Amino acid sequence: MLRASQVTRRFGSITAVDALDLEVGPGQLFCLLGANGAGKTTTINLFLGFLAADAGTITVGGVDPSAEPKAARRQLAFIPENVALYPHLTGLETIDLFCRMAGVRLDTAALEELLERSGLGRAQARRAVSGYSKGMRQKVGLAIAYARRAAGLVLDEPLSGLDPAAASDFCAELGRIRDDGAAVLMTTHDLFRAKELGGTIGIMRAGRLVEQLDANEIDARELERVYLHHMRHNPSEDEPTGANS
Amino acid sequence: MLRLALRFELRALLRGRAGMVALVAFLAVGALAIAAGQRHVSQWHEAVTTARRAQDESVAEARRLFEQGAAGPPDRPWVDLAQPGWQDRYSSTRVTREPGPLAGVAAGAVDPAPVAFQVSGSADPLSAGGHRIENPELDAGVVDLAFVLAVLLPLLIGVLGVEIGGRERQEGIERLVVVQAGESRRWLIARMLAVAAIAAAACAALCIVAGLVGGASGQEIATLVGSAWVYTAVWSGLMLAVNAHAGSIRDAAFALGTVWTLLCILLPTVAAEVSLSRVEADFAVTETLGARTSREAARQREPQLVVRELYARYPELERLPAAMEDPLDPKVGRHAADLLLVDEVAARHAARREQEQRAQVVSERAAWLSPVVALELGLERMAGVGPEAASEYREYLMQAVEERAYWVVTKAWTKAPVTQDDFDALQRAAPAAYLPQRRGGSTPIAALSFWAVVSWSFALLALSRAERRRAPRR
Amino acid sequence: MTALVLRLQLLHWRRDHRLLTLLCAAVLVVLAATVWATAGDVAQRDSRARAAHEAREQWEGHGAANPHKMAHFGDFAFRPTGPLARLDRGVQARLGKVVFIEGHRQGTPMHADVGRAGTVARFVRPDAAFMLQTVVPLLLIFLGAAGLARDRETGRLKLALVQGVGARAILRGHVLALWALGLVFIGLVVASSVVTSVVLGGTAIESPLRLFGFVVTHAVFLGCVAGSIVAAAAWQRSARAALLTLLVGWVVGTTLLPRATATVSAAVFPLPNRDAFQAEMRKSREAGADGHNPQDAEVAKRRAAMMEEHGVEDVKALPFNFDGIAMQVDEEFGNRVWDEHYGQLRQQMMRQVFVASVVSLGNPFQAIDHVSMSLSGTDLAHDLAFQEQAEAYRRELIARLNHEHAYGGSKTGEWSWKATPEFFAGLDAFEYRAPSLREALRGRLAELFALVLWAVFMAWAQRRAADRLERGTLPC
Repeated sequence: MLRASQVTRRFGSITAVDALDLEVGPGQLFCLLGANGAGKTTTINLFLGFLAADAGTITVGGVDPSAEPKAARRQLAFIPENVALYPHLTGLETIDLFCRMAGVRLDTAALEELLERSGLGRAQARRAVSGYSKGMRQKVGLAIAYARRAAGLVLDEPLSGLDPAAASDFCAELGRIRDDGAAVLMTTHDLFRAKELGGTIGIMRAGRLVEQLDANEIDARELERVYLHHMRHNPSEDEPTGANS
Repeated sequence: MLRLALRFELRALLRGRAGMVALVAFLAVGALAIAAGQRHVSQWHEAVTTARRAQDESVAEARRLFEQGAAGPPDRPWVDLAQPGWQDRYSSTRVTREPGPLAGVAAGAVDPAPVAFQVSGSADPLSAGGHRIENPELDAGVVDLAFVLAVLLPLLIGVLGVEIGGRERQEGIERLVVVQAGESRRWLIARMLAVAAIAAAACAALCIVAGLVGGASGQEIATLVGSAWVYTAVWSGLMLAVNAHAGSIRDAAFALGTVWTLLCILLPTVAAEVSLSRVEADFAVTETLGARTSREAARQREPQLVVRELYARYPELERLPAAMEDPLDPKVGRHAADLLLVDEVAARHAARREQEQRAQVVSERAAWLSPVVALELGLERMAGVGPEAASEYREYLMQAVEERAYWVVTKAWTKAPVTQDDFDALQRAAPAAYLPQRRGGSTPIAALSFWAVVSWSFALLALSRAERRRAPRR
Repeated sequence: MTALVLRLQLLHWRRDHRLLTLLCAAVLVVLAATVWATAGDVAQRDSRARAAHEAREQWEGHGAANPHKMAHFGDFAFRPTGPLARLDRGVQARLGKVVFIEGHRQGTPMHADVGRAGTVARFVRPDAAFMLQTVVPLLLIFLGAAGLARDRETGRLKLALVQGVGARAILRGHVLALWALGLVFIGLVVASSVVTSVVLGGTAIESPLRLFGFVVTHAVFLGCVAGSIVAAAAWQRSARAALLTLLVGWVVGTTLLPRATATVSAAVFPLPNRDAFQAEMRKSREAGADGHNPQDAEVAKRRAAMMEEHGVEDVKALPFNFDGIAMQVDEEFGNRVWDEHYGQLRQQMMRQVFVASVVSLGNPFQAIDHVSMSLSGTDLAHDLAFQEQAEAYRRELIARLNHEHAYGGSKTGEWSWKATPEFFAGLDAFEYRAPSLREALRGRLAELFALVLWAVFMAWAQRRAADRLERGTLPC
């Protein structure tokens, strides 16, 4: 569903993404870990069609997002780090608005069900989003993603700033979306949640995907060790640690 | 998408304090302006009524004298109604100017002509000022509907539309919109159209009320509403153009504030400066000293010379009985100089009209530079007030004065005493009340349409450029 | 510390290309407007002097004539431009420029510029006062609203306060930076106006005292503006809210409130329309003496009294010309009628101005506009002074003509009698004396008080904001 093959993206003299190979199939979840500036958000932007690759190919459901961004985006749902919403709308109206933008029309009951599925109660759904916490806004973001019934879900550090309970709820929902058959690509700094979600964990450093691990086959302590190893060494020394390869 | 945006904006309006306050304030000030305009119109009607009453009294007095067989009132033994000059004086036709149904819309316009003028063979329409006695410190600023639409409507559109695009970018909503809708341009356009629709509805409400209160026809109201809508299109286009690149609401507010200050304040003041600086050093020497000199010269000329000049200009007089007398009866001859003087007044009047038309060219050119001027000009024309209307009314008066002066001379030259029948005929032949002309002058509409097309083209272009800038780039 | 904040602020403006461009553009616009207005004023003064000279030449060159004929020949009074009209043209364009001085009737000023300048004449003219009162405050708002808010948003304000810098000193620095900029604009305006006038052959400074008043009041006004900008920035939580508050204040203060005041005061104290005013005058006039009507009761009474006094049976036997006396009787009655009607009209106008003065207590933009016009001699009070002086001149002139008509050597009924050219040349020409500064400002005490009040209020608001910033009850 989401595929990057030898993708490189530069900003002037800086190589943000360097020969990236990555694939997320339907029902798979891929967590991208990495320090600030590692190239995670650039990778997300490449899939969303906000940036074009300098080299390599990138496809969303077989469509090149830089050539046909609308066609690529039709297959995707996106949750940014901060789900910013129009403050004067209620949660229900917000999801209705974004559904209609995407050409999806749902009745109120269906919208409420979506919000409930995302963890937002009926009473909360009828309050203006200006009073929502970050966790609640992320849930609205998830509901928007549900409503799209998109084949792919792209999330840019959705867990940052969430309290542990909200992060746990969010990850549980994410797991359900994956289980429904969506391909999920998420960037995060949270090793623990990445491990908890299962699926594939990729570690990026200086634009390169330096390690791919199966979350189910590595324990949290080992994951932390591998991650810190990559963060503390020079790029030239980057070699897969072979932790679970 | 448009319906979606309209619902969205209506919700924003109902739930946001700033937008609702702005809309209510706009409508309230508009209502105040309509009331002020109507007050102006009723004062106008009052002036017309006063003039008509004076006219009726004067005519009634003359008729009473005719019925009594008296030449004039007992305390004025020199009055002789059998003489054309006195009939002219007693006839004292007040030619009034009726307010058009939309006159209140542009009540603050500069209108230097009276609304009622006493036409006689020796009157000078240039010597009459406007019907209002003005307090100059206050009359520089009157809230009329033209002001509300021209200056406040852009602010309303600004308050309602300033966050379109800017909020999305500032808070990161735009990416969500782009992923959901494929692109953000249609959403932003739809939002701006929704804001324009709300503003247009508010304008239409004010224009319809103003039209109905003034008794305008459906077509007149439609023209007024249409002009307001084109103007709404201009400012919504400008707002969208500004929003296309604004990274935040503050950027958009700054840019719109600059555009508003430039188009609503600075450019009109520059146009006013250009126009006024052309006349500020003119102390009307021609109309004052020049007129007095020529009047004196005419009175001091030899009667034979005056009559010779009169026959050269009006050869038909030479065939009338008075012309056969030698020497000419001085009672008849004194009217000759009056007619020649009226010709001079007419020449000065034509020169003034030319000056006013030249000044109006500046306004017409300024209409292309600032939509505010275009709208003000258009509304003045619809309302039948302002410098153009005043100038046309004075021209109408001038023709009436010339005709009356000619009537006096012709009657004097026939040598037959004038009777009550002549007096009645003079009454019947009096010019009708002047109705404001529906001026074609397409400049304001053309200029407004030009601004609307340019602002929207520019906005769409700016949005495309912004979209391209955000497109996948290498 | 204040000096440091001031220096930092000025440095920021100098280094920010966008702001620097805005500043340079504003300087050019202000200079252009001042130079243009000054040139126009110099030309207007020359033109007025030429017209007055020409009128006098016509009067003196008329030759021998019957005095009453000369009362109808008349004279013209041309309205002079205000002493500082080059800086603030006030409402001059709306005022008639010429008054016809004639026997029997009072002239009203005619030929106002706005009546000949087309639709755009309804807009304000961009002179130096417009720039200082409208454009410069807007510029200061754009420059200043973000200053303190930026410090707050970047955390610099908190850092400075933690370092022990007094909030008062910080706020004072921001105010001084904005005020200094405003003062630079005042300096530019005055200097460019003086230079332009000298270059074009006009007087460098028409009235130093008025100019001093102009500079001081504008300095106080711009101080108020600077103070309100910084106060708004301190009280509001974000730069956006501060900017919005100030822009709304600017639009309301410069555009809405003055117009609303005009509309309301015209509704509360309406002026009669010209026709109604003239009809009332005519009615009152017809009830009294008519010098041209030998059968007029008032004139007849006076004639009988004089004949009795001189013991003659025929008016022609009087040792003077009674026609001159009759004309003066007519004139004096007409003057009384005028004084009554015009006095009411004037009173109503002054009531309207009073409403505007009261409103200006709450709106410094209106206060400075009124004070500036009065200082420049381009307001209603100066126009009324001109009209009153023209009327006084008319009364004096007609009285002397009537006196000559009566006692110059002719007998009653001798309308062909002529006074000598020397007599007419010996009559004084109209000369306008501008009201003194004290007279000019007498009607503007409310506005002057408003400016002082606003300055004090702004100083208080800043102290309070500073105290609250230090106590932490305002966000920093």
